[in-house]
Amino acid sequence: MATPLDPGARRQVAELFDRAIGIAPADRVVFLQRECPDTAIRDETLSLLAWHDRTDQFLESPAAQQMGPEPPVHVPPRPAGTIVGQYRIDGVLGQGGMGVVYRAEDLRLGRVVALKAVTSALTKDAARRERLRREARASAQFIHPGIATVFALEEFGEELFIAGEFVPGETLRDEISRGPLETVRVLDTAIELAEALAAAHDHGIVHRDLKPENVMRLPSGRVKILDFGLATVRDTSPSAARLTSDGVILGTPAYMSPEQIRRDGMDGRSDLFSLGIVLFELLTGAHPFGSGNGATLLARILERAPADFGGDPSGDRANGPMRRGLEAVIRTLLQKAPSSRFASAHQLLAALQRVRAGGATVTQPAGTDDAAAAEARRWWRFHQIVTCLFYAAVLIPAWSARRTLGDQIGRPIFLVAVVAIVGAITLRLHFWFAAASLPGEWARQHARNWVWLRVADILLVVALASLGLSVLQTDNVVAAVALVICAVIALVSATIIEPATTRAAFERTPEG
Amino acid sequence: MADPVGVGKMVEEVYTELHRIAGGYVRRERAQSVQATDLVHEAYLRLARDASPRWQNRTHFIAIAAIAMRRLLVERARARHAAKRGGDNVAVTLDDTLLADAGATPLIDLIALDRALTELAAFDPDQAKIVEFRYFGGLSVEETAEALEVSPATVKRHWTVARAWLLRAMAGPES
Repeated sequence: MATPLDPGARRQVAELFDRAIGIAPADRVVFLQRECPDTAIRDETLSLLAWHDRTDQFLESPAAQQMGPEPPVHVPPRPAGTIVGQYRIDGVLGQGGMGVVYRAEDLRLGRVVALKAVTSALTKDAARRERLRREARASAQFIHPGIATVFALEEFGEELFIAGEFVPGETLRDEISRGPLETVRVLDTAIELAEALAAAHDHGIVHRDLKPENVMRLPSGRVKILDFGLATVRDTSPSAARLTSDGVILGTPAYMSPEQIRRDGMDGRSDLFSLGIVLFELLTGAHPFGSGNGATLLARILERAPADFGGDPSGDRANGPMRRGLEAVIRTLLQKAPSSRFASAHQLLAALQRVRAGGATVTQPAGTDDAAAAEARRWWRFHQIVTCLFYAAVLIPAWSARRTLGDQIGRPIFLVAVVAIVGAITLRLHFWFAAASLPGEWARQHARNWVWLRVADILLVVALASLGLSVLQTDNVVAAVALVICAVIALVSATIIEPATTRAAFERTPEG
Repeated sequence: MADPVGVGKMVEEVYTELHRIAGGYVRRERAQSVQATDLVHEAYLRLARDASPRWQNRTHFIAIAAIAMRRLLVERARARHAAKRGGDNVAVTLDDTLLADAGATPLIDLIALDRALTELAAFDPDQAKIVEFRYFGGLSVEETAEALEVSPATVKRHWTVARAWLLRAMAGPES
């Protein structure tokens, strides 16, 4: 056990340790003898340094524990040359979430295939096995150049295999590991992926596990999505995403959408979120929600805004508008609420093509492409402008009442009304501006400021009502009636009409 | 940590949740092995879903969960140890438990680690806390720094010394 040292000595030990750690072990004794006259401190430091050299990976990876009764079972991949049904295995392509993927030759048809051996843990369960059959059947129904085709579902005894198109090339993960891609290349990749997603979604197939590892870059430069429509079979819950039945920890669930993490029910828009992360990584070389382990990363996906894009590494000014357009699209894809993303992969595709054509930069917030949403947005704008004009017009009867009431009562109430009107109009113009030119910002601006808008509205209602009721005692009946009516209109507008138009136009996103 | 009054209760709550989730893994046979941090994040997701503001700060949550996780893992290790003691005698040696298996994650004698960590906490609570957050909570250096409101460099320095110290303490007096 360590010799007990007083706190001061321990601090010295820590300091010496820190300084000596960079020195070669052989030179440490000399260094410490020079730096520290106290033998006890010196010995303690040397002892800790010696132990430090043995720490290696000690505690470096967070607590890992066998939580279950069985030891992990490792199934060795089949050696090359093994015959499985009509397939001859040529080698291992990789290890995926569902099991080992082999490069194999279909001996009957004489073609090379990717043969996926589904781990027994996934097929033991009858319901899951059935789902897997269904999914494979659904994916085999359609062929798209951007999606690896499923050829067959083979069952040899207890074992289940999925034979699919063999896709040569490298994954986007390999590409990302070499650094960010050029803007135009990311844009072209995005367009191809959006086309593939649109086709699949039209067939009612959602990927659910889109990530750089699942997208291949062919030698021709085109991309192909792997493992389409097979993800429902996998348990894609956040905890299971990192586990396989044999205890191997796979990738992190870093590409899950917020609704997928919450298990809220998901559709094609969940794929759009995952695509947003992939595109962000291609463009910047980094994950939009940073690195980290599962828990913190998931929490960031749920809670935090994505990172900034940073500058264009190529510094090519000519790309400016295209890059900004692409960034705007990615920001829209990374919206937490599905309703704030593009309504479908088709709309995403249209937006990307506009960026590609160098046309209007895509600053349209999500959903606005929808005719209904655009209509709702128009009503919202209409309401905002009418309210501003109405508030300005209210000054006329208010001024009349203030003159009738005189300085003592009239002036303070009138001043309150003016302050409320100025505040309410300013905030409405601010929201208008945010909605028109900073769509990504609108929700935050609105969330932060709508309370003040409501305070200004209510203040105005109270001021108008007080003026109206006070002036009712005098003979200025016109102003009195006008003010009371205005107060009622303002109240209804602020508490009923405006919240309704706002909701319709923006579909308030849930916080998260 | 923000409020020392509520922490105990929160640890209790997270512990209960972790315990339930861990039990679920065993029962459902869904997976035979699970990362402690996966339990922590599953607990986080479950608790974060009820909108209670107590769980809104992720770092704070994970810091709390680290304490609960440590308890859970150590208790499990004790139970397993007790079960084994009946049968063949398992002498847990340093080489077996700490330094074996350079490639894979070495198995760590959690009971010894717990004891050493408690000892460390007696005279250097900051270092002990850093180990708890990093090893049991799965926090990165940066996140630990954020939770403890110190610089990442400080965390890294403490972490390095603490690991050496713990390794020595766990090795026992023989060296």
